[in-house]
Amino acid sequence: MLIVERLVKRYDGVEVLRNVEFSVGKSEIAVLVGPNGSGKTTLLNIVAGLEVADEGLVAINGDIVFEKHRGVLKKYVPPEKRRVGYVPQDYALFPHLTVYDNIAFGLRRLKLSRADVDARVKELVDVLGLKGLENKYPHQLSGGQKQKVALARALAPWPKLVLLDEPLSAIDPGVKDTLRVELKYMLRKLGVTALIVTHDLNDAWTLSDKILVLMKGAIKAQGTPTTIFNAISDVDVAEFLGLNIVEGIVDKDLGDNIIVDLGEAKLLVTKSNNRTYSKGAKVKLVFRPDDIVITHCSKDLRTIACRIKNYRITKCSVKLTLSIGGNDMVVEVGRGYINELYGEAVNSGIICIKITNPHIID
Amino acid sequence: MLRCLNYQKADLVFLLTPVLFSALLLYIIVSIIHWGGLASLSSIISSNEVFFSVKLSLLTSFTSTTLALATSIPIAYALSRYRFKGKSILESILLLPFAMPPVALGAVLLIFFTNTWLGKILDNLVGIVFEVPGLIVAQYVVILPMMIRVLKSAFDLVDVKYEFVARTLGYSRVSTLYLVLLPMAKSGVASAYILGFTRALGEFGASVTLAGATRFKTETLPIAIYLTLSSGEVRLTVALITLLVMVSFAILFVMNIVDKHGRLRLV
Repeated sequence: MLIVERLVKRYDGVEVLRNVEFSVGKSEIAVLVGPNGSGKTTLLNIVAGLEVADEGLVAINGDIVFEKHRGVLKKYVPPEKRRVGYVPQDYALFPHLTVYDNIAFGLRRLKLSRADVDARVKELVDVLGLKGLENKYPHQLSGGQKQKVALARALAPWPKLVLLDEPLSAIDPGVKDTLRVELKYMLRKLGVTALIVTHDLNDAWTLSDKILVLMKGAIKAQGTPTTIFNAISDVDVAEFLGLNIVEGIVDKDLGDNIIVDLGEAKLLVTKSNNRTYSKGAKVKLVFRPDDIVITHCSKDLRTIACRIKNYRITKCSVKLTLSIGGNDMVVEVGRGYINELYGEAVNSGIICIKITNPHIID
Repeated sequence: MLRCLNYQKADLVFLLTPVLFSALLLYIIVSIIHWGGLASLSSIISSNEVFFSVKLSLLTSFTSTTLALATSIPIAYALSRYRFKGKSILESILLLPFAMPPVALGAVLLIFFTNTWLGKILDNLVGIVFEVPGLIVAQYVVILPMMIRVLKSAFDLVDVKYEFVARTLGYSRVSTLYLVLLPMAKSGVASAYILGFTRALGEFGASVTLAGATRFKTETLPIAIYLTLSSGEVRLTVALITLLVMVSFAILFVMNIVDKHGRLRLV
């Protein structure tokens, strides 16, 4: 397991990591997601010991491997003694070594017998489905095969933790989804503790037990793929996660519910917290594109009529951009659904919706 | 030549320039050899003095290039992999001998080994001034900056990620250098060595100033050429030049083959 506390890193006086704190439990897969330039790779390098932070603490399986407090370096374990597996972006397989020798590279350091090295390589080759590729060189492999060899190489010397930097960014779009699921399955099967860094939200949803959102050098939200939405307190994070944000003014606080004035219509919302809101307070409703249900128009306060600004048809869904009171929101619904039931609504330009469980932020 | 049919005018200009230039160079060399006479060449080459100078040249060049490689690897590694204050100044100092005329370098070394306390101690210990080690020192100082430059460029081309991976797999910085960086930059290492070797083989200015031009003592191939030419033995000079050209050509030819197969770019 991994513990990171109050980590600070500066480059030429500019803070790229500010007080980063999180933990990853044993056999847990944590995905650190953030836009490009948010400090993700720097964080991985610090955990691996390849870079030194300016402040903070890193502990792996209870052992402190890095500690710097008020500018005084108290502990620094070099990367070769941390037992952390590392799968860099683009994999960096050693081009002068075969698949077998790439996987065995870390094992040769452990003073094992040849038979033991052989057995471990075979085990990983079997689990990761690399049979028959042992004598090939990296340039003869596909992107997916390279990824698996890099993973096998990192896992071979039984690391306490494995770090993956953008593991799917070098994979062709056509096979990305399949490989993503496979990667999760393999990490699960091997029971490894993993910290994955990515800018791709699909990776985060599919791979993780825990999502950490890193923006501008700080962890802005964390939680499981289902609970992360309740942890959002920041518009930037909501936008990055692709959520809808609708602004309104509180009309009335009814205890468990509030009525929000969206300008053109009023909407009854169940509170996601215990706060009381005064009339006239500005609030933002945050919800996922699939939290919107298209329904028949009625006078029910939970139903609102919106204008359809535009729509985009994809393989099996329709993405509609709706507008109400100056707010835009995106709805994603199945194609068949919209064709059969609400084709008319699309033609008339008005559609009625319900929003299930929006999250309220100030 | 058939493939040339697909080329446009500009391509022909680009291709003709190196061809014409090398033809001119070849013409000059061949005409001199022809003038010297091929028959006398073989008898001269087998003479004792020529044999001595070839042997001394190869021996000193091998020693100085090997020493220079051993020093330039850690220096190039530091320049390529570390960021520190004053790096540009350090790099400029290290490359300075490259920009100096060899004869000036030789003079600087001569004064250092004869007039400073450290230089005198070293000279007394090893015997440098007007001795064979002086040849090695002169060649070493001349080729080191060039080898550092070539190696640094080769190291810069290898992504540091490979070394990062090796570090996390339990290898120290030093073993990572030998097991990952050097094998991955092997064609760069080979060309640094070969460029250094050919340059050392042809070194004259610094060598003659520091080690002197003594027959059967510090008489490398270039020094032998100088000695024979100044004593008017022109045919012998031509024979020696032919020999030097042949050795250098063989080495450069090997380097270009390595170049192609190792897919190496020098800078």
